[in-house]
Amino acid sequence: MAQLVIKQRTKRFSGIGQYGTLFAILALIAVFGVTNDQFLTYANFSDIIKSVSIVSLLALGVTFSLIVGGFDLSVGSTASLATIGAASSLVLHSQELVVALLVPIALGVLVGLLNALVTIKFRLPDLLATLAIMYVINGVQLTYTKGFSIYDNMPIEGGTAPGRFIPSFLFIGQGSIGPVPFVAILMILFFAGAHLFLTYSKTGREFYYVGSNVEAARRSGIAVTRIKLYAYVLSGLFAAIGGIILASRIGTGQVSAGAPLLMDAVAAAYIGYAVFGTGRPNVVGTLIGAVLIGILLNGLTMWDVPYYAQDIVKGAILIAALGLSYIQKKQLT
Amino acid sequence: MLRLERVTKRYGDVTVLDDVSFTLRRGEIHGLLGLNGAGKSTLVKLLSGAITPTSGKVELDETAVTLTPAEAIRRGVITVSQEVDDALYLDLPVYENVVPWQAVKRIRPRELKQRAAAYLERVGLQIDVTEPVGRFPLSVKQRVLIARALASDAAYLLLDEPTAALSTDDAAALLTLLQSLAEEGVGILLITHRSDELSRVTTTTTFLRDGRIAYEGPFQALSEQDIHTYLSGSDMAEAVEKAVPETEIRIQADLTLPTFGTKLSFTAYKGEVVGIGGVTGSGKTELVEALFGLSGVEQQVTLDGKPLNIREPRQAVRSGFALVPEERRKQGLFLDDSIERNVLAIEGKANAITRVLASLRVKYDQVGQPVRELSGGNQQKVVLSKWLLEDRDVYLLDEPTKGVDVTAKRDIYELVTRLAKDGKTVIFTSSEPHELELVANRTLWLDRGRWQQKGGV
Repeated sequence: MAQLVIKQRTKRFSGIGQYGTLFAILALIAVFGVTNDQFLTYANFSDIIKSVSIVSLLALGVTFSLIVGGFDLSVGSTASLATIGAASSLVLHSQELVVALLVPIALGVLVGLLNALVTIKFRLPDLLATLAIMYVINGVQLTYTKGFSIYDNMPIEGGTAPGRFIPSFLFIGQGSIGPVPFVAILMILFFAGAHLFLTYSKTGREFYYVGSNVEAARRSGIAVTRIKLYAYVLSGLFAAIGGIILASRIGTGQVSAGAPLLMDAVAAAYIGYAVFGTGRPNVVGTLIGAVLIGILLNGLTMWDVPYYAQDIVKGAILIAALGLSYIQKKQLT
Repeated sequence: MLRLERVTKRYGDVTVLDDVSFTLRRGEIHGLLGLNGAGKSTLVKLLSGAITPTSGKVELDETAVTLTPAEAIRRGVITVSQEVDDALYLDLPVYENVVPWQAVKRIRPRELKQRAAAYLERVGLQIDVTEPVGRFPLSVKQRVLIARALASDAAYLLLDEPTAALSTDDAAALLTLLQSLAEEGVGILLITHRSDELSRVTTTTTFLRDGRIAYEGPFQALSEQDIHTYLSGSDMAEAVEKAVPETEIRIQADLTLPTFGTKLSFTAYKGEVVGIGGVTGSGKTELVEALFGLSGVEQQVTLDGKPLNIREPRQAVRSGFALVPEERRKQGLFLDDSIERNVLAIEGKANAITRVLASLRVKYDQVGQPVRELSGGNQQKVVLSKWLLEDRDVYLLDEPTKGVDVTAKRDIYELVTRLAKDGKTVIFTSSEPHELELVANRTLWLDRGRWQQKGGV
């Protein structure tokens, strides 16, 4: 007799997958807390949150590109460009807060459109195309600044720069509301918004459909190219916001300031794959990944591990995260 | 009523469907039968809006329509292709694969899960809807697709060989499900090679042959002889005049198939065409690959009395084997390279190329032309040509007629008999019993890596 009803159970992805990342964060906090009495202080945690907020926003951009099956490697240089854009508006052109925010945001969106153009219109492979754009953007900001940083009272032709980093701009990265750093609130708002958008809106779900099976998505009538375009624009946008916070935090427009953030952001997004054992890029996972990396780097700095040696740790984490996401992917095919 | 009205479909100068009229009514299960290249998948693609006819009309409920895939789905014409993975979002949970995204106004996960579970219930599935669909076996994935079809109010369901890769039990259960859907008013087009299935569930069956309708009516009324004629026609049988095998043993093989964890023994004679039959996933490709050193383990093969240890394709080639792989574009060709380079991938003499290509009646402009530009049939002939420049003892042909047109198929059959007459041994795999009957001296059937008794049309 044929079996008419199929009851099927599958093995859940278990072990290090599902709650491993959360355990890792707790374990790190415990280890660093025990070995260094400065670690578990308000000042230090506020520091961690400030650096995590920047990385996490870049990682949020990467996550959007990963969800649609792309990959945005230009987020680091976009953040640098945004930093320069904000600093230039304030210091060289004495602009108000609104302009100092809109200029970098417009630049970020522009980079997103450029990425969309080369990947969607020219059909270049995402990884290599955005790598090329990364170099272009980096060159643009270096050319514009001639390689010099932009700071208050910097010497320019015929005197010093007319403008300065105004307090309202500096508040973004340095201020707090009560005991809570303002950036923490910003970060939570952006992540909550992105999560709600991706989970509860039709367009948000379409991002996942496109990334999961582009042909099936096209055949069910989803506007695949438009969704990919949105993803790259959002990626550029969030990278630019990360850049604004970075400029505000350090109070100068440093050239290539965002470059070292790329690796952290990519690693955070890939750690995010594993957080809930789903094997998919997701914003909550990305946030947790960014926190994990932030705590790790902070703790290592406290242990006097030099920043150049920290790159070894970051690379190793990325390999582990990639390996984990690969294992999960393999279970699905 | 979903209808093709005097439809012709041409690709270049190859006519795939020739003035075909075809009707699928709601509430019927309509069988569709035909050999490779007869035009079955073209017919399905026309009905589902994947391609448009060269001439003729597609009609839905008495009005002419121009369908796109999305439009077809919207109008309730749903295709379940053989490659279910192509239509699924493998890493997304089952419920997101079931409930059509178009039909949802606001996304409320809890509500979506409940709706998905209800549709899955109707197709006899009780599974955790939050699991990624990629973790389930084929039989479940198929039902998930059928549940998705129900969720988009399917009026017509087009199924391309849904039972081919299922076990007998799963296949029987699927047919029962299809019958109940037909009773609810869904029009079902069922492509299958199994005559027991056709006689069990279909109300009408259409035979396609060389792009034309060879028969339309109840399948149950047909004799074995009728089926044979409607499938391959009489002229095809004449074209293939089998060789008589010699008495000398060429291959004696004790193969290990790691994919299934099974062992297979078989013998093949000089000048013999051995047919290997079985559905997708039965182990045909694995058997051929084992002989050619692609199984990853060392295989015990005796060739003309000499024991060989075949572990790598290089050893197989040196010992006199030739392989025409199943995935021609992926495994058989350098698509962007010229015909010449493809044929010469095995060492050979350049001046012999044109002779070999001519003997196979390959249609091409010049040997420097990229293989990508050729039709499927001609591409397959290029793959074959590469092994014809010098003598091989054993030809392993894995589904060599898959996706080639009728003329090319006839040429391939002819080549196979010619090789056999020259004393070569040919291992010919196919999922089509009639094709094997036509070309093979003897056919062995596989089921999940083991020999089985013949079952099929």
